[in-house]
Amino acid sequence: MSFSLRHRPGEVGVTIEADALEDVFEQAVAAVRELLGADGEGVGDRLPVLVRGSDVAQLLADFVADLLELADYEQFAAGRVERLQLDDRQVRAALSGRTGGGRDGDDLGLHAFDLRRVGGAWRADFVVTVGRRRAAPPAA
Amino acid sequence: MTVDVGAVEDFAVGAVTRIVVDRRSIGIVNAGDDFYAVLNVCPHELAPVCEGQLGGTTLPSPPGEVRFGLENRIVRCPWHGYEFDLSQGGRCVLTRFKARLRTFPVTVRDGRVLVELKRAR
Repeated sequence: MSFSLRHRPGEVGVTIEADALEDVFEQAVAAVRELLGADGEGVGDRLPVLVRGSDVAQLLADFVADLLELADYEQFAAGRVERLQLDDRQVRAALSGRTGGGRDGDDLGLHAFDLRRVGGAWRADFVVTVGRRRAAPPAA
Repeated sequence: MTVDVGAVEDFAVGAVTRIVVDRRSIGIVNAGDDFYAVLNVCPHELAPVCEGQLGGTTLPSPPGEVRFGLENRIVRCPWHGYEFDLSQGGRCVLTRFKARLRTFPVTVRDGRVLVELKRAR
């Protein structure tokens, strides 16, 4: 199993390949950790994640979205998956990582998501958009 | 972190009211019988999605019939037209576009609109 990051202006393309679906989720955590570049900062912490969805691709998309939100709003940089329970409708995970090691000052988006079987393995592709935060003034 | 963003009457029905909380632009939507709070960032290209239209959309329907619904619950991104359903946690109505808007829980208490910016641990 592996992941790769392709840095482009304003976005990072992510590809994950793994034999087992659970490993795709694990690699997603590793990919987001490297993408955020927050290794070693903050204090050790552990957070639960529960995602429900209509299919496994949606589960993975929402799981990655949760990782980005945790980094943004909790300043929690997930380091590894301690426990993962996965079925067709939900994923329940315990993540260890570091609070205070998240990303601040950037808006993060997630799109172009794809999950499929390729030659007996799983392949996930998605794009994380990165931009400086723009706090617009309140509407008049 | 719970933030009091104003009184119920401060938010017109069927409009997106943009406010700034903790250096973030957030849209407050009064859908009539529900309130929603959404980060003013489209997950696609980080467009200011709350500057787009608020309305409804066509619903799944039998051949030869057009049903319209979800009034005041669909935010349409001004850049590329993606539509997001606030009543479904900000999911895009195009099922193949797996991304979603970032939404926040909203409660109304004693006539005040309260937004929860961080999830409960």
